[in-house]
Amino acid sequence: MLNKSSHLSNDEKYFGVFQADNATPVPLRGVSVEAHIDDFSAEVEVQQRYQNIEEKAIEAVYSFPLPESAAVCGFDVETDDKTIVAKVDEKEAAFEKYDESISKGWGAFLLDQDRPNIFTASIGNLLPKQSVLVKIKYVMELDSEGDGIRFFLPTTISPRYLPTKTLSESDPALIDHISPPTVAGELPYGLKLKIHVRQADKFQSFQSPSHPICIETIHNEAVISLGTETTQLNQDFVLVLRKKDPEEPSVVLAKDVDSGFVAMMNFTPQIDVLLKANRTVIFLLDCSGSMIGESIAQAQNALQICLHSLREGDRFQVIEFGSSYRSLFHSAVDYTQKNLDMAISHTQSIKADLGGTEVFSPLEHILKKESDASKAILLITDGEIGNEPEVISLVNKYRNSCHLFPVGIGRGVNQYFLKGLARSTGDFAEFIFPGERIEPKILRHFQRTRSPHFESIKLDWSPMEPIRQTPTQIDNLFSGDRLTMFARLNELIEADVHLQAKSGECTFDWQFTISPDTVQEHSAVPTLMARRLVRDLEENPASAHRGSSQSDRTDKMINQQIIELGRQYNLVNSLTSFIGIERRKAAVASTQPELRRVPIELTKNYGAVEETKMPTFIRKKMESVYRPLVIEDHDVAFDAISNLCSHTPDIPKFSRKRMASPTPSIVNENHEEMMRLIQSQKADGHWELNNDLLVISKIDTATVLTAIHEIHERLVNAKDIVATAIALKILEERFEEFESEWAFLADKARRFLEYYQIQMEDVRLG
Amino acid sequence: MTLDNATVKCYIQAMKEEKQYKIGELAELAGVSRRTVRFYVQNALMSPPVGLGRGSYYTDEHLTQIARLRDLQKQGILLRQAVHLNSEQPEPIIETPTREIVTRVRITEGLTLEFSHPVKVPAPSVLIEISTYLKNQLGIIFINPIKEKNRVE
Repeated sequence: MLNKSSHLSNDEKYFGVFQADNATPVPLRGVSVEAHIDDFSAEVEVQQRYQNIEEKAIEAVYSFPLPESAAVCGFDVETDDKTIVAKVDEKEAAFEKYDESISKGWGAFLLDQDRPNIFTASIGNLLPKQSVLVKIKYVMELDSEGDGIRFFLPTTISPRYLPTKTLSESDPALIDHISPPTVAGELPYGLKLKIHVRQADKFQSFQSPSHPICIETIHNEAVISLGTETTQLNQDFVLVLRKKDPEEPSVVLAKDVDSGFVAMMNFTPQIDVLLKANRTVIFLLDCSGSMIGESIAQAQNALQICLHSLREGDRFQVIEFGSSYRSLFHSAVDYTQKNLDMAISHTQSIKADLGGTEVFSPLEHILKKESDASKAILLITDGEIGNEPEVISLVNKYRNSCHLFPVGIGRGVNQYFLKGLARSTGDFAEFIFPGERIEPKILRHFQRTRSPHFESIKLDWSPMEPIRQTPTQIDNLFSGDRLTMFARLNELIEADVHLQAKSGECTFDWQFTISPDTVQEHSAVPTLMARRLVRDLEENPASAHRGSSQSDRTDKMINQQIIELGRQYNLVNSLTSFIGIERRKAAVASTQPELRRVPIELTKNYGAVEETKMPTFIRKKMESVYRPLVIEDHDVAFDAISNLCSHTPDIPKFSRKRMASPTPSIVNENHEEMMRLIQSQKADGHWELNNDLLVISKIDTATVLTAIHEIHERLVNAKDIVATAIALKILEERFEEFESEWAFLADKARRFLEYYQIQMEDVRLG
Repeated sequence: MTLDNATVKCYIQAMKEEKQYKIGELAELAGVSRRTVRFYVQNALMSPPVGLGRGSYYTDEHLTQIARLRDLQKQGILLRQAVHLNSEQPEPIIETPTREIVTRVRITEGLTLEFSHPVKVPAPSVLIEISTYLKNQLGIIFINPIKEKNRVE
């Protein structure tokens, strides 16, 4: 609960976003994360240290984010003299035990899932001067990204937009958890992070667009830590691990918790057939207040690239949304030069000035109005909403009539929402952290929009028969995107499992070999599978029951399954919580301990608010509390980092300004030049001859004029043809390293030349 | 004042008749979860239970308070505002500062027009007309305080 601290003078009052009431100490002292990465998954332990420095018992409540795919499977609490291992129980029953324990004067520890990516730890009856160390363990699948994998750790919860309906109908305790008190400024607890990467020689690089990092390699294990001793919890941590070789299909077998086996199959299809038919692409752009600053600038860039990547025959529409929404055109229009110019011009004037994030209405409008079954929706947003289940459920109803490709932009993106949307239609989401290159991700999405449609995709396990499989139905296959499947089996025999897919005349068959002698005893695979099964039940219960023996699909049955999976695999989910109790012999029943709600930090650069002074209510208490390292002088900090790290080949070579700048960006002049060239391409794929093009090409004027003259003898628009050939030559010779980014545009250009029956060799450019 | 026996007996009788609920019973009757009841108490949105520890209980008064809070929530009133409505505190609770996009047009010194989004700002020629009209209609006179001080009486 937040109040104005009337006892503070006007100078002392903090005119920022929020204040904590009555200047109470923050009981959380620090957060430490250690992760072990192994191929496709990671095992992570989060340690939170709480201390009560007051003279009365308190209840510390801390809401924090975790990756949305995290399978939280451990919650231990270390007090001065013992370790309490919490158990999973049905959510309300767990809370009842928690509440009763507190009323008895005992210690009680509760971990709830509020959203798949938001959790709340309640440390009840922390006695005066008592400290506890909370250890939360989870396992997670890692996302593939192009030629590598992406490790993601959210550290704060960005403010969520809550529609009136959600506010008026939801449990207020839940609303409080997903919208915790937030402070714009540094808090007296920071983050330490260490990541161990096994088989480091399989990777060619480790890079973080979000934080400076240190890398050490010991016996083929890379150990990555943050470049500063402690770091503020105010933005996502992103680590991109680039692999040296393409991923091979693989199968991991493990013993299930009670009996039977679990198989995890990973494979990345390479599909060379591209759909040639044209599509309708709807660009849905978030222009709410949370996008102010770097996010809307990135969104504008992303949209411009998208518009240039369309081709003649496509149809498109641009819709901006906030508290309301507005469309650029009355309905989707043909991709012509006139419409492209209008859209580009409009894009340049887009601002994040539409208020809240009411994404439900524009999505509903698109899904109902645009009846084109081949339509693809590209949603560009930070995803900061609080009614995720409602919106995901809406898209689920239309899963067979559209494709939805979210692009998450920002430092604290709501991945649960965006991945949930993508899963609804069997598609993928891309995420762009400020400073990352947008183009490869946008163009991967465009490649997905042109992927072939598969009439059937099925997994043949014979002669084995899986008890359960996830996903139960594979909707799409995309070239270059990893597909991970799980199955529960009663028995394992040596066999080849086939994934078969049919698209028009083409049939694909991929084979996986199952070898029972490779079964692992202790593995995260069963827990990962259980997490997937829970998610299937929560997000798409009808689909989760396909292929199972259950015929009665009532909500009660589904809930029971979710609870049962939680208990069986020791998992927190939407209907189960971890509960640990510390029985105290000398306990005295008394009034309820006072609530101490741990504030979180406002996402860095949120709404373009730069970090300001620390809130004074905290400064008053700073002398007696744990103080994280505060970097006052950024130049000094850079030297300190260099000294800390013995091997830092992958720390980006930024100028010192980057360390001080809240919006770092990677400047690659070569890439900038290529972008200018790309953006001057016309809708039909040609370029116009101008001075800029000639300067970049470095082809002498005489050669160009000769080439024009030769073509002009048979074609009137010789200048355009020669200019297009020049542009293609430049792209192929000068920007080969960025080929994936200009491949679509080059294809457009070649089509333009083919239309006039011109080959590149016909244009002699020396 | 001394209470007579009859009055005391009446009070005792009334207390015996007062219904007492455990948190689970209260939650069920009110149609909310235990967590919600606790949330209300912790955030001073309703009174704490009567008594201490395991012996504490809730009454019909708590039921009434919860019903009121639910009603306020349905009306879209934020719970922080609800505290203000429930208490006698004259000071309003500070809410999240609302962000508003505005365009300010300075007509003249001391006079500014403010257009909130999404109201469209008129064209410059129209603004000039507005400016001239306002200056004439309002007959604005500007007093320079320094000049006033220096004015010789």
